[in-house]
Amino acid sequence: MKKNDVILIVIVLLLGVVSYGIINFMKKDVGDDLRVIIKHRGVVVKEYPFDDLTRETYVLDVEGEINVVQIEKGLVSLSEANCQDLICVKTGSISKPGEIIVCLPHKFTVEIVSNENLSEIDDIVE
Amino acid sequence: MRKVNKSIDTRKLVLISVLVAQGMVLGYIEKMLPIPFIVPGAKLGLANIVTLTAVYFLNFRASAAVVLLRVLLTAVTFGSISSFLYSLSGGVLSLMAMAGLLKVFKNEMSLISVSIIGSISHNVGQLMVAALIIHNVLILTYLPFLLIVAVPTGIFVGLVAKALIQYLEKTNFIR
Repeated sequence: MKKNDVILIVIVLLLGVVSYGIINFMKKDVGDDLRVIIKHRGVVVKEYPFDDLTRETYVLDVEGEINVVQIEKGLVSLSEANCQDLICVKTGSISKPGEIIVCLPHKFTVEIVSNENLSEIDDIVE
Repeated sequence: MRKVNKSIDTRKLVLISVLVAQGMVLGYIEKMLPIPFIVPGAKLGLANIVTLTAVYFLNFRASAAVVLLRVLLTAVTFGSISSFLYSLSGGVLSLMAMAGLLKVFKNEMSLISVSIIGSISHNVGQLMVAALIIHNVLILTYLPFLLIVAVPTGIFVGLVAKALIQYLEKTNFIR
């Protein structure tokens, strides 16, 4: 490995860490009036108001493609899925607005939004 | 870069075909590997080995042929529409990035650096298609992770491609 390689690697890693920091900073720690939005192919299939007391289990089964969403103790996670890579389950739990769990093989997403930026997000999606 | 001058050259044709076949097999092997990544869009990108080799030996048109044929043939043999879109955007983006870099910084950049940039663009391409397919821009918040993941995968791909290129040069197959 040459010197230039090391420089490039350091730059890339720094860029990754810094941009992660910026994105994390932009996520609001406390948002009021949170909602969990479950989407399939970009279409909302289920919405729950979300706080520490929410306790829900939602099963989405589209032609045998199953994802199980678990909401409890202020955390949202996918407890089960039958996709090939299980990245969605391994993502773990999310709790802040702006966070998202994605299951690419099933085109399935779970996100947390605060009602204040809801209209803004809708604009971007459209 | 040694370019083949004659428009129809059997060696070149054979090299393109072998690289396409290798890329298909590598893609298939990668699909069977258990995926250690926890970030959507991140891939080992074994097929990038072939793209890098093609970019190194062939001109842009021929390397584009290698990438496009591999993506197309993989799609019709064992792919779906969405996997076709993923590998098309990832493959084309990394091809353009790596070909551009090798052309401009041939002497300043090693294959490993080129390969890291290739891995990054491969992941970015896949993530952009993912954002389109699931209609959600929030997935782009995974970009920082993809940058970091691209470093080890890029180094690995670069090392393998280097070994392959050195071997091919020794065999004198490519003149």
